[in-house]
Order: sequence, then structure tokens, then C-alpha cells
Amino acid sequence: MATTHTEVYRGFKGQLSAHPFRWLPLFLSEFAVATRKKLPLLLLYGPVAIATIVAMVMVYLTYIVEGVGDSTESIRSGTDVASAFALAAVQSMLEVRVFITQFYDRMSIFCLLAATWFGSGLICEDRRVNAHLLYFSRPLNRLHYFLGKFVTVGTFAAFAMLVPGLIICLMAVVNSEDYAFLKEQGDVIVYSTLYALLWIVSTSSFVLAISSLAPKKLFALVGVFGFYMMSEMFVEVAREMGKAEFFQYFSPGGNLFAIADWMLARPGAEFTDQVMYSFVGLGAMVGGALFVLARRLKRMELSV
Amino acid sequence: MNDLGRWYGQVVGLNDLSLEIGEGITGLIGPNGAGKSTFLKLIAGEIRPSRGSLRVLGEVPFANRALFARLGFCPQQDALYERMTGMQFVSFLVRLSGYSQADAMKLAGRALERVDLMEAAHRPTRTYSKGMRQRVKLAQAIAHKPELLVVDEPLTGLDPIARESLTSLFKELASEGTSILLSSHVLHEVESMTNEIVLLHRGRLLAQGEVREVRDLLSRHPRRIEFSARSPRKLAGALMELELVSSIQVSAEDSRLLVETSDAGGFFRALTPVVASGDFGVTSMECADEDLESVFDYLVT
Amino acid sequence: MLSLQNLEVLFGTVRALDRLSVEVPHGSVGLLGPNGAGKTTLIKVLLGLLAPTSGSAQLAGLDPRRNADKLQLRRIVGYMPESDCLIPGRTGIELVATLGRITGLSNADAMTRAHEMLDYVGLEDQRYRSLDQYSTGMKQRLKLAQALVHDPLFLLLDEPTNGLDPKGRRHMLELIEDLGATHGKNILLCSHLLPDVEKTCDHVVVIQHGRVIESGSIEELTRAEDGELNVEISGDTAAFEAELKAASLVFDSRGGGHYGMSLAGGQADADSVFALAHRSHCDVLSVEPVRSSLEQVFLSVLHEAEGEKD
Repeated sequence: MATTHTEVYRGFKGQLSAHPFRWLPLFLSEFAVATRKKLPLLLLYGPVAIATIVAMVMVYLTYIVEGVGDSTESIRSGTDVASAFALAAVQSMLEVRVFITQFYDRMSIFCLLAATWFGSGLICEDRRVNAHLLYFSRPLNRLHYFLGKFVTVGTFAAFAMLVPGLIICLMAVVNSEDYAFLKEQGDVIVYSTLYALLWIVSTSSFVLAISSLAPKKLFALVGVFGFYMMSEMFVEVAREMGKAEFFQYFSPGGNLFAIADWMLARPGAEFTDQVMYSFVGLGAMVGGALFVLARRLKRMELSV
Repeated sequence: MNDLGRWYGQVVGLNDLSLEIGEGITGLIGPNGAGKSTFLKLIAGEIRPSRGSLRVLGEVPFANRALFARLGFCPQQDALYERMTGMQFVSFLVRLSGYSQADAMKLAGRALERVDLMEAAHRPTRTYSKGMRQRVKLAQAIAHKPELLVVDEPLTGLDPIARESLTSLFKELASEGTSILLSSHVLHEVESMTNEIVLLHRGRLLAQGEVREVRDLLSRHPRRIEFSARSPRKLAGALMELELVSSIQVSAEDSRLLVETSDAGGFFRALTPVVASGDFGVTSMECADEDLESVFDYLVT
Repeated sequence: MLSLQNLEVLFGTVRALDRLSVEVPHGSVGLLGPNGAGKTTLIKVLLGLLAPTSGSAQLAGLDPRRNADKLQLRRIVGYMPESDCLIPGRTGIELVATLGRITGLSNADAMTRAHEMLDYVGLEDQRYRSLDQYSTGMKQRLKLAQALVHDPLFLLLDEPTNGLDPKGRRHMLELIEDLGATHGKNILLCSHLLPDVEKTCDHVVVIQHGRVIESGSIEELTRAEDGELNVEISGDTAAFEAELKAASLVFDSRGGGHYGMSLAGGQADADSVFALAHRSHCDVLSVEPVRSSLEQVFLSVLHEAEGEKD
């Protein structure tokens, strides 16, 4: 039979690469699609940006105002100028340190919001429209698929918490004399980064696990908020009953804040049993979420 | 009861359509968006024409309860009451057309038997396979023994076995005197049931009637007749002499010959003596563009 | 191309594939069977998603049971699923290019191939449109394009013509035929529409209850005995029948000038029919050797298998 297509099919001459980062294209494509709608981006990251700018100004002002104020006072009281300046600098750096830990604490809510909004549709929507058929018939296994999705949520969460935090830290370092902040208070940067990563990893796992269970994005959204609200309420009720110490380990927020009390207040704070239990509680929850995810993804792979 | 339906004028999705449909099976075909579903919904009285008038079994169909009892409609959408069993679903709908509970059960049972669904009649419909869902939908449409059955895409997505059983059910119903109007995307499916077609395109009636008669009207396209013969070149030479032949194509490697003529009847009249008198070894001869698919192609451009 | 030996898949106690053995040659093959026969399970095994309980499968020499081959297998297979599986919010080109990258094409190659494939399936004008606005026909073609983006050796097409209107169906079938005949793709086509299979495939494998009940070339399966003819004539049918009787031919009249007849001695050509018609002053309208359609063959094979089981 004579065909009259004008379309032409051409073979592919090159080689298909088998690099281990097959999740990368999945992540890039998810990221590109998620950032296409500007309104959610603006609503979520607008406040984050404003908070970051305000915090930057405040860090800057702490150095200037405190430094100037303290030193003039010192001069008046007759101490020598150099040591007065040095003392003031140390004081303002301590203030900035506290400010940074507080900043991370405050921004954690944005981390939760961003992960929820951008992450809750990632798996359930694929399942709803059967897109996993297209993915799993390719050289992409469950782990690659998970990584692609996880890195996507993680990125959005990081932009809400970690990235602003690092900017503030950078501001603190650059504005301190001779980068003294890095030398003397550098540990806070490490610990606050680790703390932010804890938030990002745990929230992303919860969001993805709930997304893998939900039939569509809206339900997953409600599910994530329900999960956080319920666990908080659970702890509240337990607190009323005087059993807060124990039940707080069942709330991701409770655990994270307990960890923050230790991690961000270092070196002053002590690694108490309570903190340890918080780590265990959070770890168990993340483990549970990953277990659910593994089960659900296996089912998705087999449903091709 | 030849005068089954008549409607004039402009309706949603349809434009200035006038036609009559008779008994037996009539196939409703057309490309996507041609207005087939709109047309069927109009007949079933689900929507009202925005212009023009329409009579089904002599009555105005829109929201006409008396007519609903004489008409069965099987829509395309896969919408069942998932919790009900097949039996409950069918008897419930039969009751809606005005039967008592007992009668409804009896009719539903008989209909489910006809569509070969008795074994699963007491299972909830959500456990049904695709073929079973189609059949339960059909059962509710035929349970009250309608005079006219309107079915929208009944065979889509079914496997060949389910397809065959439904096809023979339709033929059976038609032989019992039910008029059936049936839409489909798959032309050979329609062809296996009937030669009577209605072809819609862009909301307009493009053709109606028996496929071969419709083909005869398309004089713009010459008839193509395909031969297989042992000596195709010799045959081509002989056919060249015939006045009505307008072109001949020989493909010698598979001994085929394609002849075009504008007057098929005349051609055949002249052909028989030619072949009878020579030794061409004709193994087959058939019209290459008389089937529904060719007619569809010529009409829908 | 594809070879299965005693392939068995158990889901608990349910035997989805029951010692399935078949050798499938290169080319286009139709995989037929009623719903629930095990076609989907077979596809899962071929994609390396489901490990067979016992037996082996080999596709182009690769064994889905070996871990190293599993992913390689999916590089040489293009899969077009039956269901709508296109992610809303993406454009056609985006989806195809992304899937190409996931399969291992470089960014530049993925983009080039994606554009070429969309051109090939005839979606050139819609490539930048969001998938939400695609019609059924466009979705099917896009699904074909994504299966082709990495230029696989082997295509698994699951109901590619589902939901298409006559024009869309024909276009799809032409593409499949072109891929198989001109571009050397090995095609495994699952379809409920047997005429589609007949048009595009050379070979069929029929499975039922997880077993192969028929396998062979369509040409052979549908061939009838020599000398069996379907004839249509117009004119004086009584005279024609008299001539047939005089020539002591076996025939049956189906009304309206349609006859089925068998020529003496399995004679291949029908010249004698023309002669008889000429003598009775009738015109021959068509003469065709009897060929059973694939649909008929399929149904009779299934019924036979059912009968054996009982």
C-alpha cells in the first residue's frame, strides 16, 4: 500500500547514556512545570523574600548601631578606643547569632508551606493520570523516581528556609570585621544549616508519603495539613493531661523544636535524653514515611 | 412504522438537519465532534432542539414520559450506580418507566439474561469489567422492550468476544422488530451489522442510505476495480479496448491490476464477455472503494 | 526476536501466565486474547517490571530476569500504554523531550528527537500546546511519539487506535505500518480491533488463560482452500444457477445474486465463472477467493480452546 505521509521518521544514531542521575531530568521537568504558575510562587516566596530583606537590614544595623553606640559609651567611660570597639563587635556578633537562630525558627513555617504546596501533587497526580506508566517503562527505577520527586520538594522547601538563612549568615559574615563572624561564630552556620536540612528532609518525606496515598492533589494538601494539625493537637491535649514529655515525641513539629532548643543554643545547651528521644521520634516518623513511600512506589511500578 | 423520526432545523451541535430513519439497524457515523452524541441525545429526549422540530415514533421526545416507555437509550458515558447490583440497577430504571416492582424485577431478569449477565446480576456494578458494564447499560435500555433502541458507541473498548456477542444481540433485536440507531467510530463494526448509514459531519447530514447507493451518488470519484490475474498485462491490454475504462494500473510483481471507470454498471456489462472469451486466469475481482471506509473517506474531507 | 520458554507468573494462587512458550519472529506481531488472558502480565514481564515465577523470556537476547539487562531492556523498548497517561500542565514537546532525557538522550538529542517525532506523528502544530487541550486523537499520537523518542528497536503498542475516529484510526495504522515495514521496528500490537491487526501485522499470537493457543502468520491462518469462491452477479440469476448446475459445480445461493461456490479440482482461477455468466447473460460484479477474516479465525480458535478445556 502506498502511503502519502510527508512526515519523515529518522533513526537515532547516537548512544543512550546510562548515567546514574536519571532522576535529574525528572526533577528539572517537575521544577519547570511547578514554577510556571507565578501566583503561588509570589504568595509563598514573596513573604520569604521580604522577611529575608528585613533580616538582612537588621543584621547590618546590628553591626552599625550597636557598634557605634557601645563604642561611644566606652569612650566616654574612659576605656581605650580599640578594646571598646572590639568588645562592641563581639557583643553585636552574639546578637546576630541569636538573631540567626530565631530567623531559622520563624522560617520553618514557610518550609512547611512550600513543601506542602509544591510537593503534595507530585506523586498522586502522576498516579491519577497514570503518568507512572510512561516513567516506569523507561530505564528509571523506583529509587530514581523517588529521588526526582524528593529533590523537587526539597528544593522548594530549601528556598523557603535554608537559602534565606544562608543569605543572612553570609550577610553576618561579610559585615563583620575580617570575617570574624565566620571564625568566632561559624558553628552556628553549620548547626542552623543542619537544622534546616532536618526540616526539609522530614517535611519532604511526609508530604511525599501522603501524596502517594492520596487520590488527588487537593486531598494530599488537606492530608498534610491535617497530619501536622492533628499531631500538634494531640500534643496539646497530652500537655493538658500532664503527659507532654512523652507525647510530644509523636509530633514532628514538637520534635523539631525540641531539637532546635539543643542544636541552635549550642554550645550552651546539653544533649539531654529529651533531645535524644526527639531525634528517635523524628527518625521513626521519617522512616515510616519512607517505608510507606517504598510500598506505594512498588505498587505503582507493578501497575504498569 | 417507516416514519420513525423527523426533525428540521438548527439545534445545538447540529445544523439544518432533516432526515427520516426507518426500521432495522441504522449506523450513525462521523468524525469526532460531528454531532453524533447531540443527535442521539435529542432523539432520546435528553435535550431540546433550540430550533426546528423533531418527532420520534410520532411524538415530541423532549421530557416526554410516555415516549420514554417506548424508547431505550444507552448513553456513551460509563455512569452506573456503583453500589447497586446489576439487578437492582436495571429494575430500578425499569420502574422509572412506569412498571410495578414485580414486573420490573421480571423484565430486568429477562433483560440481564439476554445480555448474558445473569451470573453477575447480584454483584455490585463496581466489580464489573468493562464489557459487563456495557452490557448492564444495554440491559437497562432493552428491559422494557422498547420499539426504538438508541445506542451511543456500544462496542468501544470491548474485546472481540464481547464485541461479537453484542453484535449478534443487536441483530437479534432488529430481527424481532426493534429499530436500532447505533453510533460507532469503527466502520467495519457498523458494516458487520448493517448497510444503512447516516453520516454526520460538522453538525450537518452528509449522507444517508444504503452504503452502495450512497457510493453510486459519488460520481465525482471514479470506481476503482481491482483484479488479480495470472496474466495481468494481457488482461490490461484487453480491458484497454473497453470504452468505459478511464485508467489502468498494472503492478506486475503481485499480478494485480487496478482499473478506474466512471460507470461501474456499464463496465461490468462489457467486462464479462471479454474475460469469458480470453485466457487471463483471473483469480479475483472486486470493487476497491465500495465499502463504508471508502465512502466515508470520499465524503469527509 | 521474542522468545518465551515455559514462562509462568503466579499471583498468589492465581496463574496469570501458565507455562507460556512461543517464538516470535522479527516484524509486526499482533498479540490477541480476550480481557484477562494475560496480555498485560506479559507486557510487565517484557518491561522487566515483574519477575516471572519460573521459565524465561528473551527479548532481542536480553533476559528481564537478569538485573543488568532489566534497564537495558527498557532502552530498546518503546511502550505506548492503553490509558491516557499524559501529565496535564505540560506541553507536548516538553513531555516527549523529558521522557527522552530520562531514557538517556542528551539534552540536545532529546530536543531534536522530540521535534522530529512530533513531526512524524503529525503534531507539528500542537507541540507547544498544553496537554490539557489535546483531543483523544492527539493524545494517542503523542503517546506514540513518546514511545519513539529514543528510537527503540521494539515497540509495545497497547490499543493504539482506541477511541479514534475513522480518519485518526487510519492515520495511526499507517504510521504503525510505516514503522514496521519501512523503519524495521519490531512491533507487538495489542488490539481488540482485529481488522487493525490484520492491516498492520504479519504474525499473530493468541493467548487465553495465560497460554498460547495459536501462533502463526496471518496469511496462513486466514487462507482458505483453493477454488473456494464468493461470487456476485447481476442479471438472470435463475439462468446462471442452471448453468452452474449444468457444469455440476457445488454452490449455495445467498440471495441478491451472491453465491458461494467451489470450483472443480481446486482450480485457482475463475475464468470459468465469467464464461458461465456470459452464457447466461449475467454480469459478474465480483469474484473473490474465500478468506476467513482474522476475527473469524480468532473466535473459532478461542471456542475450540474453550471446548478442549471443558
